Order: sequence, then C-alpha cells, then structure tokens
Amino acid sequence: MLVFKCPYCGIEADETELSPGGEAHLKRFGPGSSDEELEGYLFNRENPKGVHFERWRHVYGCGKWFHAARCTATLEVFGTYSAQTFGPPKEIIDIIKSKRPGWKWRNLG
Amino acid sequence: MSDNKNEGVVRSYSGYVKVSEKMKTGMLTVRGDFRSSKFKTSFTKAVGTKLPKDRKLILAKNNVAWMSPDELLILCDYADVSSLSQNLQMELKDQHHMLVNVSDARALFEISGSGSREVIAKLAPVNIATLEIGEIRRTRFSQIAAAFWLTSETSVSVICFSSVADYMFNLLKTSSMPNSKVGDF
Repeated sequence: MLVFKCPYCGIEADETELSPGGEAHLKRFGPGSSDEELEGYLFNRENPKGVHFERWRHVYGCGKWFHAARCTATLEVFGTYSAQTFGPPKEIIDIIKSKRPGWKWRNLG
Repeated sequence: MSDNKNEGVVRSYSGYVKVSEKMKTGMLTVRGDFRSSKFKTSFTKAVGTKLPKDRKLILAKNNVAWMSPDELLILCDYADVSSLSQNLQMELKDQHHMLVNVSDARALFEISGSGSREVIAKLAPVNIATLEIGEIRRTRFSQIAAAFWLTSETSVSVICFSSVADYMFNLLKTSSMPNSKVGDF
C-alpha cells in the first residue's frame, strides 16, 4: 500500500484517497517547437524500475496537486513536495542519493 | 428499526450505534486567501469566529471547518444562511473570494454511541485511533467523498453530497448492524 503525506494538508493519505497524475516535471512544447519536441512532450515517458517522480492529487481530501518521489520497485516513498516547482527540492535529492547511490532519472542523478 | 418521528431528522437507524440523517443544515463554502490579515478580519467580523487552524474545526454558534488551504465550510442554522452569506459578501466585497450556499447540496449525518469510531474505521482509510476531537478529516467512505469530525468520544458528524445521501445512509447502517461490533475502539 502506497501512503503519501500530502504537503498541503499534512494528512498521511492512502493511495485510494489519491488520484495519479502521471510523470512529474514535464516541460511543455507547444507552438513553434519541432516535431520531435512535441512528440517527446506528448508521448515519451520514463518507465523506471526504481526512483521515479510523479504527480498526485489529493482528490478525496484537500483537492490539491502535489509531487512525490518514490521507488517503483519497492514502493518506498522518498518524500512529497509542493506542486509549485520545476524540479525536486534538494532535501529529496539528498535522501534519494543516500538510499539509491548511482540512480538516474532523465537529467537528474 | 427506522423511524421518522424525531424532529429535525430525515431518517435514522439504531444498530450498535445510532445513525441519523439531519434535516436542512445551513452550509456555506468560502474560498479566499487565509494568510491575508484583511481576509481574516473581515471573516471574523461577519461570522463571529476566528479562522480554524489547519485540519481543525471551530465549534461555536456557527461551526467553521477547515476544508483545504484555501477553503472553509461554515455550518449554521438553515434559516441564517442568507443573512450570514450577505454579511460575509459585504465584508469581502473588495477582496478576492468565492462564497457559495451549498446547504441543499449537502447531507449531514450524526452517529452516536460507543463504537462510533469503529463504525467510521470500517468505511474510511483513516487512522481513526489518532484522530482528535475537533479535527475534521476529508476522506472517502467506501466509494464516495465525505468529511467527518468527532464531537465527543461517542459522537461523530459526517457530511457528504446530498446526491449520495442514500448511499451514505446505507453504508452507515450496514457498518453499525447489531452483532457486527469488532470492539477495537
């Protein structure tokens, strides 16, 4: 069972109280970008066995979107953080570095 | 075991706790910037209570519940909704806010009796053992969205959308059937 602490209301929310929002930190490529960039934005997603960054929504609770860093293999949660950001905060990165040395995720790690 | 004789009650059921659906409660949803001191002052002036702390509920003449970092729910007498709404509208008129009368869109249930915590524990993914009195918890009850709070060790209030009130009543009824007590709380 996946349990995330919602960074907005502080509740330890069970997976069934949340709604998954897919991969985190995608950069939008809209009008004016190349076909490859648009294709990447629309379709290319990470599918890691290990460290992953995702968006979740506390849909049955406060209704806010947030980010979560977790391990897809063990379901270990490294932390959750605000949605108003372009990348994971340093504390989360440090936790992942200490627990999963040598990890890689897109341009991180 | 249902009866409609109680005043102010739509329907009720007595299992190992008593479940009743309350008739017509005034409810107002307020959204705005709770960090703004101007907002706080205007709110207190109109409603008569401070803003609740995160996840808390203020029990006063008008109960005020924290719903999210930018949303509150005011519970009051059904007859007072329009005057309260107008007062609040006046106070907040030059501030960014949203105010909606949701009285007829919501249903309020009350559960009373020892074992009230357990009736909730059977339905919602909540660590009920650590939930304090005066704390509001928004969650799901089986398949529907709901919020609840403990008013004492033996009584709980539950709110949900009125469109799913039948579902909620049946859930609470099933959960409190006689002989279904687990006895963990």
